[in-house]
Amino acid sequence: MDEGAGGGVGRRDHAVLAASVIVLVLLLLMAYLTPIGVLFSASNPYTGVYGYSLNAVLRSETLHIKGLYRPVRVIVDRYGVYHIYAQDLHDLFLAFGFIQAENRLFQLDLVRRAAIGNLSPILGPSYRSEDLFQLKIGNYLTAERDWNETLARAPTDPMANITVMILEAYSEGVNDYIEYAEVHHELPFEFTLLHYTPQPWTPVDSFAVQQYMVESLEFGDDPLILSLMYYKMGQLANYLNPPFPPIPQVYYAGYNGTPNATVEEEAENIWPINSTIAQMAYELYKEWDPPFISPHAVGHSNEWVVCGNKTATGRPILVGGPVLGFSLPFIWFEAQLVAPGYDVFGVFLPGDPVPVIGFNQHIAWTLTDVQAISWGTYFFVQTVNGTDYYFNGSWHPIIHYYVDGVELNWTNWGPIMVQNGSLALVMYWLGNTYSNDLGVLFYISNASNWQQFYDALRHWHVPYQNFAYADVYGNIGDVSAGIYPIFTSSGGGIPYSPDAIMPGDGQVYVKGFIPYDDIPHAFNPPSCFIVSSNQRQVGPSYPYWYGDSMSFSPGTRAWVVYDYLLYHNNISVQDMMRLQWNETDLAAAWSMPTIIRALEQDSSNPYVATALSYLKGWNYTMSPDSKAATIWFYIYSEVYFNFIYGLFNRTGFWPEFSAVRPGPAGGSWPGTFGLASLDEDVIHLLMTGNGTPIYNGSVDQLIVNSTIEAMKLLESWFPNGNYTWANFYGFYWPSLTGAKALSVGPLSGLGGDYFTLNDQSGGGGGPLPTSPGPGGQSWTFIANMANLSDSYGVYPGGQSENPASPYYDNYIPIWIKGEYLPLLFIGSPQAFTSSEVTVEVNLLPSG
Amino acid sequence: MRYSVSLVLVFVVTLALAFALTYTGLWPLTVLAGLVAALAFAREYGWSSLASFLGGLTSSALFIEANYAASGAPALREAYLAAAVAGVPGFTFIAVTLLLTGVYCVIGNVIGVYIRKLL
Repeated sequence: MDEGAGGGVGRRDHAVLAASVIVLVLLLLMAYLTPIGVLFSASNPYTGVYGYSLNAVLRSETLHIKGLYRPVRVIVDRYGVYHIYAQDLHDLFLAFGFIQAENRLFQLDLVRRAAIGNLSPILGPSYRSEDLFQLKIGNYLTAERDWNETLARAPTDPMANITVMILEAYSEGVNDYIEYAEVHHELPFEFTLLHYTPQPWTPVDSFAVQQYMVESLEFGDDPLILSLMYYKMGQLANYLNPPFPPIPQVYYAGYNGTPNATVEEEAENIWPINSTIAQMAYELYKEWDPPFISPHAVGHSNEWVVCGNKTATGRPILVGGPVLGFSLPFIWFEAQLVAPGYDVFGVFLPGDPVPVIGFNQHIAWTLTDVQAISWGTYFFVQTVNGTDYYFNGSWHPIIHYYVDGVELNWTNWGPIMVQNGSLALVMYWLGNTYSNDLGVLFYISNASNWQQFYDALRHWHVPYQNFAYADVYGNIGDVSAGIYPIFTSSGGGIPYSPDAIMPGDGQVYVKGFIPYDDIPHAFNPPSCFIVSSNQRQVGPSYPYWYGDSMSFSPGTRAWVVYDYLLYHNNISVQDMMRLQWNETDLAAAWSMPTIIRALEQDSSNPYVATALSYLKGWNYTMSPDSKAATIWFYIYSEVYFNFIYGLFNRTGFWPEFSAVRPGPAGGSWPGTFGLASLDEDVIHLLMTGNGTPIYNGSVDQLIVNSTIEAMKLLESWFPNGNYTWANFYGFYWPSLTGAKALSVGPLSGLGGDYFTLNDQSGGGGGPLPTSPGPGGQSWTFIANMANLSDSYGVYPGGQSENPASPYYDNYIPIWIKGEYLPLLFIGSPQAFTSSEVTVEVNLLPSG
Repeated sequence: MRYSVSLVLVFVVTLALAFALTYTGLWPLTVLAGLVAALAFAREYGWSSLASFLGGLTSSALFIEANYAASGAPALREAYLAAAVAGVPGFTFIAVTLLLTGVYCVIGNVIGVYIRKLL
């Protein structure tokens, strides 16, 4: 083989060379001109996916950052929480932008794209319809307008002024990281795989994310469903969805007296629609698109505050458990931000530089969803021609917007969602109202007393949120902040129910909003505690229309907390931890006497006998090792199907509107609609055992039949009879990439269900692993106002979105066991002990 | 020069140049590593191509080690997870990384030998 070179070139040489060149050309064509090129770019040893692995390693280092005025110190504590110490607010928020982007850049980009309808350019044409829906509802227009409005107000409005500073600094920080990651080839690998690089972050993007959260928390199609129900069922629709909940409630803000007759009348005064409008409503219902990214699951959150007279320390304790959809990366990011005059610890949303929930040296606060007043979403039918809409006796020009080549048409109420000839179904969504949520959050995160907190929330417009409050001085409070429209009739009579479609020609209009001091709130109540778990906040004597029973949660979770706090004193932080994971299903407790009585009449049936043998000694806890819990769950489900589905079939609602089906956000009960009123109807039926206009058969027979069906189902799944609740109840964390390898679960932990404090949202439906719930208490938070350093919290996720990072999902094993992490609230970097520090990063001004 | 020595030199020079050229981010430029090594030391296509292939492959392995793994970065795990997200078998990107550098170097090697023969 020792041939010498330079012996001349023959035909074989030409052939070998030609083959090599052809291979090279083919490789280059594949790399740069074909879809398979992603394989080449991802595998590139320098610019491919490997560089992102550097991001997975926490290291002590010094970085030079553009835009900083002075050095910033960042400490990552032993739990992976970031503590940022800056010398002024500008540097603080710039550094936070850098840090959040370092940990969540792809999530940031995905959420802003999802918010404004810009997913299809990166995920493909199958996302186009979702994009169009996002554009149509106005998210982009509103985000842009909100930023411009904030800029315009800044010279005279201190809240707007600080918002501008915060968002500009934060955006600069995010963009500094984008530049850093591009230079160091550390961009998240998703960008490489999807073949794009992130555009610079802007303040409009932060408002877009705010808009997305409003859409997640205060946006609903309930009025479409109610109108369709009324169209097919007439008055039965009002029995199904009564003005006030038919089961007992805890109204934290009072008004327990006689129902307000005017409000009751308004709630039941549904505008009758014709077949054309029904078809338009049905078309919009089918088009209705839930948000792409979590949270899908809302409406199961808990919060309560206890004053010092009932606690062991003599100071208040605040407990928060907001339920949101689960994902990896998780929606929250945890940090402490410190600058002169500002020191706050809390959890942050993507694109949001101020904590949504947290505490400072004086106060703590947490949120639950109000779920009032039709989710802030109303629908009007208006007459239109090509260019104008009709309102109040005259024609007005339709406003046309063009976004991404899409024409959006708005009337005075909002976007035209569906048009059929001269009829338009228009959405009036409060989400399109100006709201500087970030400015309000900054103010409350910097508040030192109730008055400052309460006054700041005056500016909170959307989404409706219950803000629970406690301070180190012994005060507790709660405010259901938001703007609540007051609908009125131009004719002077009772207006049509805003919970259904309304005529949009001016006979119903908004005459204003409930005055801020009249919205539901409480401060230092005599009971010494406040519970707000998405149940209706005010009782039937409240003088304003506040929504019917469709949207508020049934209230069982609130009752469990209420009963506990009412009968206990010397309450400790540990007591609150146990209560937060309580597994008692109060709906089961209320229903069981009727169920057992009915079953005992038919106990010769072997299925009934088996069910009875478990249910009779049951303590109503949905614990994983309980078979009775499973039996109750499926009896309830079967009763629901037989009762509600039966009604839908009997009235012809199905099959005409057969697409109105339970959706993925329908609570943890499989096959339910997520309409609280329907659950309350079922509970009410089971509590009383009496028929109603919506169910006039034998309730006992309904229970027996449902039990037999439930037991047959369980025994078909588990012939060995081992149908303990652990087989059905679990949690799941889908990766935002959709990849199973990056998802976590299903995991079984503590028990619970839709009616318990430890709620699993969106799951159920069959034995694991097909039924895990992608939602639950997203941040279990306990603030001890006697000693803030004795506060606890954990969210089920991890700080890093990098799946190769040890901080990708490290909080999940803690959370799933119902355990907590201490929140290290440390005022200066010098105060850390060495065992509390993982790494320290120094950010210095560049140049 | 002994033939075996020339093969070792092809391997070493290919490795070193490919390693350096990888820093350009223009991966196909590693063709030049094979080409230069072949121009300088190769005598034929067969064994020197193999040496070039191994040189290219090793350069990528060392590149990943030196730039990522040595500082504790989980580079291979990252690539594995990225492949899972892309919907391809876990070791696809790693395999392509190693093999393609080798292939580029072989192509350069062939061109180099051809030019050397012309000269």
